[in-house]
Amino acid sequence: MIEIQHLTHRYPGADKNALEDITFSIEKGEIFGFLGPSGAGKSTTQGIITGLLPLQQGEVLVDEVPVSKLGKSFFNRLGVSFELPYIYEKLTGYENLKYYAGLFDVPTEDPINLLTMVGIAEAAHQKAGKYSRGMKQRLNFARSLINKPEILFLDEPTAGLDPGTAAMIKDIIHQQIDRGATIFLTTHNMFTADELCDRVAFINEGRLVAMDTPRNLKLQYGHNGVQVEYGNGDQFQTASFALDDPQSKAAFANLVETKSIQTIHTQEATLEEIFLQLTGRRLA
Amino acid sequence: MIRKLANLIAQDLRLTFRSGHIYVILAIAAIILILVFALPAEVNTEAKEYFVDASETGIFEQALASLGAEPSLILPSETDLQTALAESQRALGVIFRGSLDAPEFEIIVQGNISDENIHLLEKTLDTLIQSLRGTYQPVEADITLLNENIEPIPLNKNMIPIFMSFEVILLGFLIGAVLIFQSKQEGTLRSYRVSPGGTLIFILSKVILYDVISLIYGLVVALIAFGPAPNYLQLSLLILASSTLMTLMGLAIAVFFTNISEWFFAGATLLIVSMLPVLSYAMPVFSPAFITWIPTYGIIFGFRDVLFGMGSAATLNQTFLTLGLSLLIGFAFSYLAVDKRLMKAGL
Repeated sequence: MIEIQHLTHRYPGADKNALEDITFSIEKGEIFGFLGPSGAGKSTTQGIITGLLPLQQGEVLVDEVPVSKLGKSFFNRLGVSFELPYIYEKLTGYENLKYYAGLFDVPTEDPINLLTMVGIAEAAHQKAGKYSRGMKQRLNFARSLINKPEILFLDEPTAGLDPGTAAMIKDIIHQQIDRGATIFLTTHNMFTADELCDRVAFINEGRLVAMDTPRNLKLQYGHNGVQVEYGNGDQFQTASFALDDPQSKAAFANLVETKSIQTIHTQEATLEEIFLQLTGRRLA
Repeated sequence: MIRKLANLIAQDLRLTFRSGHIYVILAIAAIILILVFALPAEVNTEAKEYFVDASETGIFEQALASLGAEPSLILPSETDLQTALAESQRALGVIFRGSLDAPEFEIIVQGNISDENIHLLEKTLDTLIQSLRGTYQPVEADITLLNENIEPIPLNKNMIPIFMSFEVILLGFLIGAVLIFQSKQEGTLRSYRVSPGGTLIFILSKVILYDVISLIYGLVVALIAFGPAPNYLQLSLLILASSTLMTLMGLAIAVFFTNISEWFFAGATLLIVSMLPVLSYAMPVFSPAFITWIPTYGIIFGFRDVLFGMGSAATLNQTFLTLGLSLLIGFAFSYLAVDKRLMKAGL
């Protein structure tokens, strides 16, 4: 659905490229995670796809049509939830959504329904400037859904939210996928990416360093083993076993058979660890 | 497009009211109405002139009396003159000594009178003496009135054209710019840029909003101050054209700055330049070419001509033509500036 080919971008006055030959594609109905630390090029990539930044080099195709030829009507198909809320603080939450809905040429969602969906309906008629950070973030997220977009760009959609609210937002993201939307998720939160994304791409210093499903990445870069906590008399002990070594595997089976097992943890790598392994940098 | 435009106008109207900007406009309207009702239509600013005839013949006093001079202004002695001058800082005194053949005048002033006025007084006294001698030859001059309908502008309404111009400048140029900076500060422009809104309705919404507010304001002030006398069609057109021009200029300039602090020097300079034609309005003889090129020159004098029924049809047509051309240039410049500097401003 979205194809990014050989995307290269340099900001005016910069001495090196912000993006260097980025190529990837996003399938319809997919949640594609774009992971990288601050300044890696995530927002630049999203900015070029959404038209906030000019296309300098490379190609961005949506349904095989260059994005530069799609015109203003392309935005009817797009929803963008920015990392910062960017809302009118002197307008109420309802007015913010009502105003934004009025800019589109396609059927839009009822603002109250959206505010209810993100859990801030009771504050619909309060000025958005009085909202807490989390409420502003939810209003920002709700705004991105107002035109029932085919393509959703979500930049750190759960940042600054409490776990309960973050779970609610993740549920809504899944609902959008069920509706048929395609989602480009930008984040440096590996747990969010791991939980939500069908595929993830790691970006570092403007270059893609890896791209696959979270499972495949974990299998490829992780350790195929388990760590076991077990009771041994009055004491607890820990042991690790490599599952691709027959002897170790047999020892693990023996332990399970003979000891009182407390916990068993698989030893696949986290996305954070894989990123660190590939780039020498942490995501956050 | 109409639906989107109406939506954007409604949103800009809410922001203008909730930001308190509209109260500035109401305050200016209140000041104008106070001027209209509190100030007299006319104030006598002429200096009071006292005369003393210190000659032996008393011919000067007789001449003054025959010309209908107010008796209280003709004083019997120089001591009385000193007392009268001490009581009024705007008064001046004239003492006549000598005779008709060898007249001597002493003019006593307070120091706040111009040389031109003193020369005028000297010439008047000279004419009086020549008349008394029978040697005065009046100059015959034909006087042609270009517009017989023009009446002196009442003092309490004289400033209204300036306030009306100031209001459109304030609304379109200043408050339009403030709205842009608020949008930049809140980042709401980014969300607008990923909608199908576009540059044209962004500009038109602000232009139409400030046009409507300016029109309501201008017509209400004109109705209260002038009643049905002005040509309201011409006035409405002038308000719409000038408000549109100032809004376009305000947007075109504001997009080059990030916030009002950065804008302040350029904005304040342009505001001051825009108000320079007020000097020509206050002193009509001071109209150097560079002032007449400032768009607000045509606006201020246009308001004066329409409100006070001054100026010929040709003058008004010229004003509208100049404003029309300025609008075309202003729109092109504003569209390019907003599109390149605001709508495609990067992240």
